[in-house]
Amino acid sequence: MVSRLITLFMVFAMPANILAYYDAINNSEKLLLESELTLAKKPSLYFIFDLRNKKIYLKAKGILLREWEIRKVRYWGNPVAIKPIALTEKIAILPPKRESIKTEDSDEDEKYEVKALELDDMPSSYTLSLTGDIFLSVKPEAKGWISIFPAALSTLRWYTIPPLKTLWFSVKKKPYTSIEIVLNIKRESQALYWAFTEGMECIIF
Amino acid sequence: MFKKKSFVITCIPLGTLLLIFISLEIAGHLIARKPSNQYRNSLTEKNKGKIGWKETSSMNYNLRRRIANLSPSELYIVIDTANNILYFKKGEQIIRECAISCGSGNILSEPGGGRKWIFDTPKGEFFVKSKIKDPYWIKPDWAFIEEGKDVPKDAKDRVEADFLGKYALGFGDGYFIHGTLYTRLLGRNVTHGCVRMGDEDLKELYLAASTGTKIYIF
Repeated sequence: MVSRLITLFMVFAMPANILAYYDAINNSEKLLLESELTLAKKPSLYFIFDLRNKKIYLKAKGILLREWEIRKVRYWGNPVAIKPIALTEKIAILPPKRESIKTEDSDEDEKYEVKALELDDMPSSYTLSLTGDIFLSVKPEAKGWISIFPAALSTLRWYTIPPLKTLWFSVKKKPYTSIEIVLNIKRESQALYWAFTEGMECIIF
Repeated sequence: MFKKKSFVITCIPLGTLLLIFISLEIAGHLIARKPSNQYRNSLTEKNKGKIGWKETSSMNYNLRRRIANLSPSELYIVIDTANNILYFKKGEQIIRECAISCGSGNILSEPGGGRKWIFDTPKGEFFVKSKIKDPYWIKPDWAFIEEGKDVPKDAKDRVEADFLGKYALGFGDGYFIHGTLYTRLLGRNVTHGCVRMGDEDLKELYLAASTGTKIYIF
């Protein structure tokens, strides 16, 4: 009798849940498309962080310029509203430094040596501070036995610091969101740092 | 007895601190869980009884079409300044891919604390504003300052021929896609902001692009 009742309940309740689920997906997709249309109308490039499908897209006018694959993602705190948000600051322990050109007393040999700010000079682990107190940490996947200790430290930091920050931000009555993205290789992470410039807008989906 | 007492004296504040820390952590965890549940519910609740699944689907289809209509139907240029690659593209298709040189990102300061230049290739959306055959370079002030020379007063002293290759495509603010004498440096960030290309690729680009062709630089 009980099993029949459960079956009956499932027959009636499940479709309603499934419909609600697809409804939510459809609605969030609508919000994403509306936001993308707003950005695509502007004469600037924009990013879409598609965390559900683990992809990052760099786009302009709806055209895909470059794509990044996300290896792992984890989030903490307030959910991010599906709307355009801007990059306010790139935070790295060792940010890239520009070379100053020497105009006088420059050696002839020195002149032929390429001194430039190139992709290899970009940091691979950094935090992107976005409007609305959203902090997006990016790092490449740690590989090899030597990475065990930093990975453990990173996990420990992930489970201890965001809760304290959440508490601090809630005292200040401000939302707080922390997202951690792990990319496949160091160069991918550096390329994202290179392409995402302050003031650029993005959508986190 | 003394040892036991000092042990207790040390342990009590440490234990209290640990307790406070754990309490704060738990409070943080609880606060963080609350909004995500609210948000998840709000997404499902938002549409209930207002717009149906079919209507939202058709709205999404229309939005996708509106976004697609914004993208150029003709050939466009994509420049990857990090990897120093230029693509000619039409729709999703890559027609040609070539090695280029983009801005070095270096800084030049005028002696005496005057002007300052940052040699970056600009990023964003641009379009071909001019197409020039056999261009000559009108050297800007920074070119003389970099060489440690005085900036000439006569405009004729600024003209330099055969420096930009056979063709140049201007995309605004003095930035050009042009040829180079330093082909061995293609693939490196060495320029003052312009985009340098090899002769053959440049010729192809010059023939394929027209005034108004979109350029996307990232």
